[in-house]
Amino acid sequence: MEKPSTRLQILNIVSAVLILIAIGLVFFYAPEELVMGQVQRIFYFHVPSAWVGFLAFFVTVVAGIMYLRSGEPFWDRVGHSSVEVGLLFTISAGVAGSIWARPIWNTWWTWDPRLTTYTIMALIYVAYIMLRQGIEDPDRRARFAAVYGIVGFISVPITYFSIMWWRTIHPVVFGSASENAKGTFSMTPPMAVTFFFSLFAFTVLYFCFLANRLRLARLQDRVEKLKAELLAA
Amino acid sequence: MLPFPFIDPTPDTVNYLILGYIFLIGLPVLYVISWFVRQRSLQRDIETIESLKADEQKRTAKPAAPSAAELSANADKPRAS
Repeated sequence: MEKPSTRLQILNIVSAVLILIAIGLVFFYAPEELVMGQVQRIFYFHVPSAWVGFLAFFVTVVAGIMYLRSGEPFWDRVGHSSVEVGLLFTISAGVAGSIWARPIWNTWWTWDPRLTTYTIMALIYVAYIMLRQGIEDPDRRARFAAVYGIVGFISVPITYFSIMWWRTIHPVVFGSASENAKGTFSMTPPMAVTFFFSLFAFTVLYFCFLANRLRLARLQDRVEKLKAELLAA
Repeated sequence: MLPFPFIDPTPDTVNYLILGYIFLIGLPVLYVISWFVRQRSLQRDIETIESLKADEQKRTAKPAAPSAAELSANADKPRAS
């Protein structure tokens, strides 16, 4: 496999530095929240991780539309890679949220509208990856994945707005919180700086992961082509 | 607001914080490691396929045509009756 391009190497370094700065801000700059204690610091990486999941699934929609219009295998690779990266951050945000909930809600899990819709969304994208693996023909697989990626995105706005549409105990940091919400807090300026910096760092990290995953996808395509050639010979 | 002695102390939730960040940082790190594992496995696949292709080409290759000198030498030989 060829060496990563200079641009990708720069992106890797920039992402790593941004994440290190974000970790520094979370642990040494943001003040301790008095009601929840130290566990509130999970918020600074939990929300950006969930945001990256939403962004990744949106990129899959764009890639799906582009594939259906052009038929270029590149867009199929973008869609697949983006789902994989998005799913990673979705799971990581979900697990961290559950750990935060234990001392704050006194439970690891509850069938709250946000948690339920979030889990359904994650399962939709797990199914995307599993179903892809079940289709042999590359063109059929790419077409199916493009359509599934577009339709599956419906779960993202439903998940996002669930805390505004239904009664929930999930905190709403931006916008009006439900009176049932447990764990809401007002951000002080250092908290806001830390949060928005983490959001930015995770967005850059997403593009870095996507670019690296695309390199791997190119290699996978090459192996598939070689196998097909060997079988045809 | 309640006077200072009546305010609930901030709960000690450091253990949950540590556990949360183990997942938030650990999962992406494991994912990056998985790229290297998958890349190595794909490179091994490429090597195997290429060696199989080379073997296949050797097996299917036609025997080399006789040279002009060989043909003339054969032509000079007397034929067995």
